[in-house]
Amino acid sequence: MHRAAIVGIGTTQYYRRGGSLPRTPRDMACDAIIAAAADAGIPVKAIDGFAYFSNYGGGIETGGLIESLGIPEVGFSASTTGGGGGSAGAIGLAQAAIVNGDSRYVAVVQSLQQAKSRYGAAFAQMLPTPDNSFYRSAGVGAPGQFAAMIARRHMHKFGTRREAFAEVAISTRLNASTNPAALMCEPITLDDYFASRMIADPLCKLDFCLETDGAVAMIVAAADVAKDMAQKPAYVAACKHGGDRNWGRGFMWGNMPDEYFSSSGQRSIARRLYAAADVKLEDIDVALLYDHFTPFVVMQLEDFGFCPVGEGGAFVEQGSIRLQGGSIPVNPHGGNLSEAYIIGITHVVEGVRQIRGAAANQVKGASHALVSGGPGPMPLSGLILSA
Amino acid sequence: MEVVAFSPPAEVDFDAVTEPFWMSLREGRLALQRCAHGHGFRMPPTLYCPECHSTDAEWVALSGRARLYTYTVVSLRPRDAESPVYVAALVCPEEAPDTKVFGNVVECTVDQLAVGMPLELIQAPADVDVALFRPVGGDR
Repeated sequence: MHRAAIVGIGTTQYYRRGGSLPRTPRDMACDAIIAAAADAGIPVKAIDGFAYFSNYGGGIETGGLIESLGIPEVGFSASTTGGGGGSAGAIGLAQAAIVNGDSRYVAVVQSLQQAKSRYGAAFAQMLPTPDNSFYRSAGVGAPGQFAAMIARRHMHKFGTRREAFAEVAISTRLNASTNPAALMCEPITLDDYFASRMIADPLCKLDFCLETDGAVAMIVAAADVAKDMAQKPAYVAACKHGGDRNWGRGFMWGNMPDEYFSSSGQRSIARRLYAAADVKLEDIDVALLYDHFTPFVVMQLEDFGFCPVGEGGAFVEQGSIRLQGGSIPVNPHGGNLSEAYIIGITHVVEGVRQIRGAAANQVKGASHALVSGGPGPMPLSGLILSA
Repeated sequence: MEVVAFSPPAEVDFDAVTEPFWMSLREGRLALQRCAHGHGFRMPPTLYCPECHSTDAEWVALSGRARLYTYTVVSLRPRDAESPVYVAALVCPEEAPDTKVFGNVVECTVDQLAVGMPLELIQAPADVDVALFRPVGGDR
């Protein structure tokens, strides 16, 4: 019995990083919220709850938003802790507000502007602390460097090849090439991949997600309200966030037990997600997997059960994630790698579009969509949306 | 092929719990924290043992021998083919094979790097705080 559904979606256009100036993150958030309310067919002022993830100010705190939007009262305002790991989990916060009777319409919002600093450089600019000094002392700090170390271990343990990472990049870019909203539209070849410059071996530029600006908002309502609303509801079959100590702070810890080190950290999320949803692995029609770096797509396919642990490389090299002919299409929108990176919330939006049958690259008859939060320091998260 | 000689200097910070790790490295020794009640090494150091929650801990000086667990090769200025590379690594000390320590590997070529290769700790330059390793058998 579904309890909540996503009933409205709104986005700004996506920009290369810094390209959204002179807009502000708050302006963009308001733009997305107004669009999402219109999509849902509700007045903006009917919104009475806010849920976020990776929200550390930056102009999208609830007070500022309701001042700008004239929203009279809010009964819920919460964010998952951590960073992009909670991108799918924010929908679960919205559901909690609704189930608890705190809000009728919850806006889930993310807004990103990387004009002054970009995530790739921000870690390098961080001040030393007792916690970060361990990896900082070794010249490690940028997320891509951590991803590279995990990828290298996966290659060593399982024989995963760079060709598998290339396939993720190539397949995702091909999807983006037929998505009008995507920022990177030129298909790439295996030759392009191997000619791409190394950033943190074994990861090259095409293994890295985009650095972009933009805002996204979604409206979540109770399931019995959703069925009479303007759009076909995308029901929340299950949404879980959290994680276990085998992953902990993930790559920033480095001391995950070997069995979990070269993974996406999502195994316990996957277990809880499938247990809670009345949806089995075989029912999933499309997977929106957080692709900050290509190797994590390979590892999430393993952790969510699409293939055995260690076989992710071969699985993708066989063409399994392709929109045309794949057994589990991954990121038909072009993902973080090629559409846009708004810390993963675009994957939730794509999940909604796939359920509505309204995606740019529609998976025929998609009834169940899996969305993952970003492998990184916990909490991680997962979401299953159903028609 | 060029020998990796570079380890990027970075200021570190420490508190009462983590200080012994850094002080040992300054003296050219690798030391790890271990629960006094037999629950093993832990990294990074913590006040409480995650198993028994005791604060009784000891610092154990290790041989400095380790194996390369994983690594990445980073170029300081990626656009510049001439710029130095460094090897950021996680290594497993011989006496603590399930524990991983961040550090750099020097005195090797990129081609020599192989997960599992034996390494030994060497003294970092003065005023540089890092766990620095080279392949076993390098020149002294």
